[in-house]
Amino acid sequence: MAVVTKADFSRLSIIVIDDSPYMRRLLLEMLSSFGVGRVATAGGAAEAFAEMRRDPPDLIICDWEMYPEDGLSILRRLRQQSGARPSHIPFIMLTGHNGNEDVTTALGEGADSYIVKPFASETLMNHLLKVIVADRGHLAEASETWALE
Amino acid sequence: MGKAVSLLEKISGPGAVPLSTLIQRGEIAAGRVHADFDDFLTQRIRVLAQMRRALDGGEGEAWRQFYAAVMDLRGSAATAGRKTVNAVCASLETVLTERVRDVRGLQAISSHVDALVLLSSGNTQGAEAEVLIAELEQAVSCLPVRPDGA
Repeated sequence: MAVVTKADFSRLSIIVIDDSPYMRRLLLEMLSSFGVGRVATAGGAAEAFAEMRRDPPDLIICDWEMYPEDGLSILRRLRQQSGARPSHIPFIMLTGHNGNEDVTTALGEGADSYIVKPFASETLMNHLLKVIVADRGHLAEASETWALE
Repeated sequence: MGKAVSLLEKISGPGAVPLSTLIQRGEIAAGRVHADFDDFLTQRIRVLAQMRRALDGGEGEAWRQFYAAVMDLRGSAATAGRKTVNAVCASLETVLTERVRDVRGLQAISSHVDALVLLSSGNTQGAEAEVLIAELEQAVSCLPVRPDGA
């Protein structure tokens, strides 16, 4: 496992999906302060998929508890895109619940990591690095087709 | 098409900065956002009060929307380090998910919204806030559990 002590996130593109304006702003500000090159935000599934079709991100941070479509549903739709890039994009689930069952569910559905609110800057950084180091999406067939509606 | 670049390669640019520096910048950025939490809280309570009124005789849709708004506020408060607001939202979540939805449940919900108004005004802090939360939790514990648990 690679040990990362320095990082340059300027070439990285991340989308934050959260129906809370406060959380969107918080993550936007924190990721920008890390130097992430492009941070897109979406308040729900429809907006997120439109944005991701327009400009596929390197990484997704998504809240679980959203209405009417929650983060788990978004994750499932992404992972169902067999062979396409969306099925490989690292996905970090954000939630207010820290029960073992919830963690197991999210990871079982294909989430790469799981952040429980509240979280500190160091926690966010650790989870970013965890999924970045583990990412193997570039080895897959990189079809950029987005069939999702 | 060129060789696909791994995310690890993407963040290994010449401008790499020590992680400790980036984490510190993140903390400063979070602090800036949290400083504005009161404005956000005031705005969200206004929305919650409107949504509370829709619960009277409302169907499942109104309850789901109200629950989502409470969860949003709870998560934001926890992230901003506002323990009392988070505690009131946690108590309110119990009412919404576990307790009866009759007039007693609606009264308890109103009490929680009123408590959030008090906390946001800044007039109820410290020990007073702790007492307020304890009273809410006591009131919730006296409410009958919903039979279906749905």
